[in-house]
Amino acid sequence: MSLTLWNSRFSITLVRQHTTIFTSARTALTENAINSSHLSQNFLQRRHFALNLMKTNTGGDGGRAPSNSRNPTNNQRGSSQPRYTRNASMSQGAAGGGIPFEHPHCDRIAMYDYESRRNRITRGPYDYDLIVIGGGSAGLACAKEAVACGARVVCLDYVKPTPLGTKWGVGGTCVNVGCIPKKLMHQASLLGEAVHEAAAYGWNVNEKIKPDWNKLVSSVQNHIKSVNWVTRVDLRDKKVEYINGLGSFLDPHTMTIKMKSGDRKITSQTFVIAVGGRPRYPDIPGAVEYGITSDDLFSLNREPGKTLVVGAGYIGLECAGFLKGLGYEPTVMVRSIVLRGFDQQMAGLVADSMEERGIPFLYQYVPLSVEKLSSGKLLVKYEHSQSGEVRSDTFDTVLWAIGRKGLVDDLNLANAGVHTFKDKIQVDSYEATNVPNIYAVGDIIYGKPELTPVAVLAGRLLARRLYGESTQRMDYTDVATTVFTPLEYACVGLSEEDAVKEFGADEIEVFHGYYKPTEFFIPQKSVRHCYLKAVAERHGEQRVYGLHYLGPVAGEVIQGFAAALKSGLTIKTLMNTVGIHPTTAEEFTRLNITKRSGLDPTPASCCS
Amino acid sequence: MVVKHNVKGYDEFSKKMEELEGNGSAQVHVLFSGGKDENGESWCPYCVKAEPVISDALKKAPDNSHFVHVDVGERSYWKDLNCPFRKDPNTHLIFLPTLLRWKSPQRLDGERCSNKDLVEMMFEDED
Repeated sequence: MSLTLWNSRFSITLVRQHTTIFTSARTALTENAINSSHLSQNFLQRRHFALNLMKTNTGGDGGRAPSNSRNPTNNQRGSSQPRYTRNASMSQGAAGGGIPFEHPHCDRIAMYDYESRRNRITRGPYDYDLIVIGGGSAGLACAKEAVACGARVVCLDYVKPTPLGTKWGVGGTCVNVGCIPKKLMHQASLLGEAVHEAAAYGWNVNEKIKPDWNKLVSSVQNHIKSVNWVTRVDLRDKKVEYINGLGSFLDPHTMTIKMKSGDRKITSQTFVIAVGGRPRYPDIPGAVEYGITSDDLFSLNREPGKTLVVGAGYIGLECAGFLKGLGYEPTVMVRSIVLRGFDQQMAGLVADSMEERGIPFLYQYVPLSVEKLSSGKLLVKYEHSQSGEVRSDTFDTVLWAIGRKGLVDDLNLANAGVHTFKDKIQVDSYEATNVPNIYAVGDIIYGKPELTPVAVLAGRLLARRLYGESTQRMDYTDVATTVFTPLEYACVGLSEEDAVKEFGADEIEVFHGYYKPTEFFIPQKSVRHCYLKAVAERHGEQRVYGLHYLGPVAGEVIQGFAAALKSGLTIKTLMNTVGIHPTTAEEFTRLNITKRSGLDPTPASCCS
Repeated sequence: MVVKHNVKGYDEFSKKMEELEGNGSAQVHVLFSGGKDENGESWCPYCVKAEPVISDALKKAPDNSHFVHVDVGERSYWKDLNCPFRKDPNTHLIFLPTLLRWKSPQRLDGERCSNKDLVEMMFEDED
């Protein structure tokens, strides 16, 4: 706990230092460009290009056209913007001013070369400069940074209880019902596995081990409550006003807030919507009455037992994974595909690795109804989506993991004139909505990765652009992520199919291989699904477009490679990197078999 | 009125906490600070700074709650990494002073114990 406090103080110092670095780098680059006529020409061209792009994005200066198609196309893959064809001229200028180097799929322009609008702190007729709606990863980061820049800020946070009655404190999804409890339960499950392996390594593990669900839940919840407390202390310490209330718009500058103590009306120059999302329930009988979601699972006051997990996105797979590891019996029901949005070859391997561990997958089935039997068990009827065949089975728990919904409903966005799109909000590359003084960040924005570190950085950068001296925008491309299934999957950059779509199958090369983690041999763990691949440019510099890794500690493995990819990693660099032996991460430096070659990607021995 | 207790050393502390836990569920706040010498001066400067702030803020604590001020002892005793205050899973002390709510997540340490705002928040916090 104390350590956490100390850490949070420390990280703030780091963040401040980074700001300085960015600012000074920018100054230096500009000077450089002015000093050299050749380079400055280049720089100006790029600048011109950048400004043109900006105009395309925003529909001109003042007219931030309120259409749904206004999204920043240069941030999106598969767009017709020429950002992949500028390589030749851009890379020349890289040594000098402007963008340090060009990468075919990093939005460097977003990071270095844009002017942006800035809100001056008005001290005007409003109660606040900024109201941040939502006290999760995005909202808190944005509110704290805005206060640090001198703005008068209030942060609203409110959690509606789940149908089961679960509710939680400040901090949002990640801390309370997302990444944190998920990672802790995943760890609990890995530890159980490790104890079994320990016997093979010579430990006398005589007693049969069994999990204590209630002990686990209370340990996890105690940790979460500590984090909630640290968050409250941090807000108070940084003088961020915090209101536990549900806000809704009356007009673009006025909000009414429902609180325990009654309603209150407040006004603000600017708003940041960071309300996030919550799990969806299917529209079938018994879904809400008898089903639970990830919002309930981490504080469930009984053992989950035999569990039907409906949905094969990362949340469903992770929950099924740790439930299996803890000794329960999960079944995964898949409507269409596993891990939508991820590389489908890797998704298939993840699913196979889970089936190998004894988790059944019901492919192409959709649930029809949930009934409670007199025994207390839940009877679920489900249907094959092609054949129409209806089956049923009984479970102790039914967990909906069919997707998440943006929390736009309570905001009365119509009163402010903010448009929604599929229960999300579309923003441009400044996180601006169609209403000039209203912004949105985090999971509520449409079409961007729903990840805590993305939300934190986007929220912080937004505050700095609004109230600091920064012009830096969020670069949403090439964000690394990990799926914490029993065998973990991490990736950064493009999936193989997205690379094919973007560049054509003839222009990409996929290097791949199966590998055998050293520590798997002694306990004779299955290495069948330990696999990795690099998706790269076929010709020329062989830039790496995407890296994919299935194996132990995937997140720890891929994070550093994500920095390398952001820095313009090529296959040649990867091949000239000496590995750390024996690790699994070193397998990336040993990739030498292309899919195109048709050679066998399974390894002969460990050290050749 | 907040009921105040002063204890010295680990044994007195454990006994006091057992006694208070036996009394029911009233809130207990505990302040751990460095021991004082014969002149009444503590070797721990942050503890000295925190004490008046905390005793002032104590009026914000709920009626009938308890406040236990623990004199941890001499500097050399505290600096021993096997000091029982550090090892006890309920205290797990790393810094002095530490102000905490017994068996709850609320905890402040070091300089934050002399931040009036935060100390008041600790005594008032309802979550």
